[in-house]
Amino acid sequence: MAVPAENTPAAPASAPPAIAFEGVTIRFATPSGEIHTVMSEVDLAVEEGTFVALVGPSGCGKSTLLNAAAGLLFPPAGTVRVFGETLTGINPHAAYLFQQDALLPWRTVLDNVCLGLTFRKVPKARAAAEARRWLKRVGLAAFEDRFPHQLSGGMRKRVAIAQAWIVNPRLLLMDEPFGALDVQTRQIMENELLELWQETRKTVLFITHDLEEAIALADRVVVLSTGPARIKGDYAIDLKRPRDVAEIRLDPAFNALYKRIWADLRDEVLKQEEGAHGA
Amino acid sequence: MARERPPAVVATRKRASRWLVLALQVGFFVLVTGTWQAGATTGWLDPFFFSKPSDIAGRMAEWILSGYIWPHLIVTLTEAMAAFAIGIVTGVLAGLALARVELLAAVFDPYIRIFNALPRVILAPILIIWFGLGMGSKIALGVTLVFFVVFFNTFQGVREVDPVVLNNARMLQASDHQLMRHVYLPSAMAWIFSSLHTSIGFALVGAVVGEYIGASQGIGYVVSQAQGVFDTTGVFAGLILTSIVVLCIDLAIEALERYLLRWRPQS
Ligand SMILES: Nc1ncnc2c1ncn2[C@@H]1O[C@H](COP(=O)(O)OP(=O)(O)O)[C@@H](O)[C@H]1O
Ligand SMILES: [Mg+2]
Repeated sequence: MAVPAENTPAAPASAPPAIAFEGVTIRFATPSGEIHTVMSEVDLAVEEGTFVALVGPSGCGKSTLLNAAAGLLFPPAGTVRVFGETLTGINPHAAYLFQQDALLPWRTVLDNVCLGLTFRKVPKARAAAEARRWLKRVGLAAFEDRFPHQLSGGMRKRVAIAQAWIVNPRLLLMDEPFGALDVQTRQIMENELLELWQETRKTVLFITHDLEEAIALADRVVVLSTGPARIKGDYAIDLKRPRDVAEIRLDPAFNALYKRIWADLRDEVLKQEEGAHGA
Repeated sequence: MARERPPAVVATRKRASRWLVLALQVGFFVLVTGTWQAGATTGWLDPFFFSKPSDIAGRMAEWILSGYIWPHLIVTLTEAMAAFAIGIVTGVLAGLALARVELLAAVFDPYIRIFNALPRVILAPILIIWFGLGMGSKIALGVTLVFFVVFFNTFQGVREVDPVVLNNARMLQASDHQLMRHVYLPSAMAWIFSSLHTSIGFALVGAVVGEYIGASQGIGYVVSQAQGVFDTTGVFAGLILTSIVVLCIDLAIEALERYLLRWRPQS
């Protein structure tokens, strides 16, 4: 696929960020009727063309932040801007990769990959041809007639990637997409993701609770603090690209980064643990 | 089909058990009718009240061969199928609407409960007054029975839609109409189908009970005529004929279900 000029890292500095959270506060009502503030006044900007990983202890509000970026959830205070425009509904530039299975179980693999095009009223034959191209790309050409339950977890993730990528989104939101996979499959998928990303350099906001995964994949790692969530740390990952997630872990620079970020993250994880035991 | 094949041993054992079940089913039938026949012949069962399987079979054959039963059967089936179709369409539409619009659900909740708790057979007299002695009143009675079963199942099916699948479709820019068609409706389909097995029976109950109370044709009318002259054989023949028809329709529904819900994991 050709790389559009504006997607290269050398975008003009004046371009608005792909996604910008400005003073975003999110609260939920607990079952007992109290107000639980999940995050307060979060400011974060993700520049176009960068791969940003967001780490934090589980339950700290990572998914909530991503849902706000997706337009699936509306913050009562603060704004979310997408390429400079305030978000008022579903984010039209974003594709979302969920941790759980999100394919339509009643549609075949091919129909699932077509879905975004079907919803945009692309003619059927053209959508199918494009979907077949993507299925080939993710190595599932032989499985187009299967239903999701007939595939393994890793294969379903590949279908989900093809489904998200086919609409050529400018922004990819990923919520621990490989969290449910076994270690080997996970490493393969991480490398495939990097390969895809290397070609297109789309903006990625990637959530994980695994710091190693975050450093191996991203250009920048943002650490979220727990209860209520704030930006605790923000680290540039200046490791060489293209990367192999297994090899990069052996790089001394990787270890140095890991130690620095982990010092930040560890406090939050401990706090979270104490909170869980105290409750 | 691209279904994963189970190991051969399991497949053989499954086939064997299917034959066993069939054999036991036939055995059960033979045992019951045999006992009934023997009881009625020896006088242990009074044939006046219980008739006799051989007589009933004879009566059914006579009805079918003479052509006497066909017009009645066609009337009953037409009523039942009309009630079934109208009940499904209205039930699915109402289920989708109420599941999607909170306000509608909140407003109609008590009325739906009250109406559903009402024994519908009580409505037969008033429906006959409104729609006359013809097919209309029987269809209306069937609809009041079918509607609620389909409605509740559709409602539940829509409510149980997986929120992750739903959000994924929304992120892929599905419009409200597309969400309905591609997500809510297929998700509710499994629930709707399970309601159809119950409601086909209800559609026939509506038709037959309606005919029994007041009509000039149909299986219910035939049964009530037979009852009027204490013709137990006729009552049983009508009953069994109705059951066979229900069984055939139910098998057809099951085949359709198996095809439409083929995306579900087996077991
Ligand atoms: N819909 C909701 N209603 C109430 N509380 C919620 C809801 N969604 C998330 N939360 C709460 O917000 C907090 C953050 O959740 P989440 O964003 O899923 O965390 P993470 O993804 O970091 O594990 C949790 O304490 C969770 O209980
Ligand atoms: Mg989460």
